[in-house]
Amino acid sequence: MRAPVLIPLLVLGPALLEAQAESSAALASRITAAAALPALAEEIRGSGVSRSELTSLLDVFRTKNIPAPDAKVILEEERSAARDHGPVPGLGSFVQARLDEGLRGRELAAAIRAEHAARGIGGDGMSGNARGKSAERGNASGRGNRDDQAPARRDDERTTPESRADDRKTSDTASRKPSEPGNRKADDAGNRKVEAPR
Amino acid sequence: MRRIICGVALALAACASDDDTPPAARATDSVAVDTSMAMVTRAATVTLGVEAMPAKADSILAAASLTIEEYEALMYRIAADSALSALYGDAIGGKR
Repeated sequence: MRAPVLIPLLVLGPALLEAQAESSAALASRITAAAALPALAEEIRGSGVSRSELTSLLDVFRTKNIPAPDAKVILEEERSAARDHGPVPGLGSFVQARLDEGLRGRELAAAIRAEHAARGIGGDGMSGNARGKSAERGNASGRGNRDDQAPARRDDERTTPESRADDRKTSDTASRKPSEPGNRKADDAGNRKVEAPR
Repeated sequence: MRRIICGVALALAACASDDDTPPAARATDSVAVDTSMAMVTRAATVTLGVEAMPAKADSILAAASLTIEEYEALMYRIAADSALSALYGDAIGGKR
C-alpha cells in the first residue's frame, strides 16, 4: 500500500523541489529589487524631482500593488530622464494614467522617457508649462525681436561694394570724437554718403 | 561669571520649553518614532536575511509575518520618506 504513494513522491519530488527553488529565486529577486528602492528614491530626489512628486509616484505603486522589479525599472528610468531633461510636474498622475492604460515595466519606462523629452527641462531652466508660456510670450515679443533682426541681415546681404566702403567711412568717423572740428566735417560727409543711396 | 549665569539661564529656559510640550503630543511623537523604527527594522531584517540566504526567502518573509506584497508596500513607504530611507540605509549597513 505504501509503494503506490512513495513512487509518485519519488518521481515528483525533484520536480516539486525545483519549482520551489524557482519560486524562492523569484521571491528573492522581488525582495532584492524592493530593497534597492530607498537608495534609488534618494538619487531621484537628488536629481531634482520634488519630494511630493516622488511620494505620489510611490503611493501609486503601493496602491496598485506594482511588483518591485517593475517599480525599480520605472524609477531607474525616472532617475536618468530627470538627469537628462529635468523633473516633470505631475509625474505621479502621469504614471497612474499609464498604469490604468495597462502599461508596465519597459513600456511604461519608455513612456516616462518620452514624457520627459517632451515636457522636461532642456537645459533652459524651465518646466514644460513654463516653456509653453514662454513660447506664447515669444509670439508677442520674442519673435518680434527676431523679425527686427531679420531685415538688418537682409540689408547686409544686399550691400554693394560701394555701400560697404561708405559704411567703413562711417565707422571710421564714428570712432573719432565728434567734438573735433575735422571730424564733424567727416561725419557730415559720411552721413551724406550713407543717406545718398536712399 | 555673568556668562555662566547666562548659560545656565538659557539651559533652564530650554528645559522649561521642553516641559511645556503637552504629554499627548510627546506620546504621539514617540509612537511615530517607534512605528518608523519598527518599520525600518522589519524591512531591514528581511532584506539582510534574503541577502544572506536567497533560497530561504519565503521562510524569511513568513518569519517576519509579511507577504511579498506587504514587504513591497513597506519598502514603498520607506522610499517615500527620506528620513526613513536614511535609517534603512544605515540599518542595512549602506548596502543597496
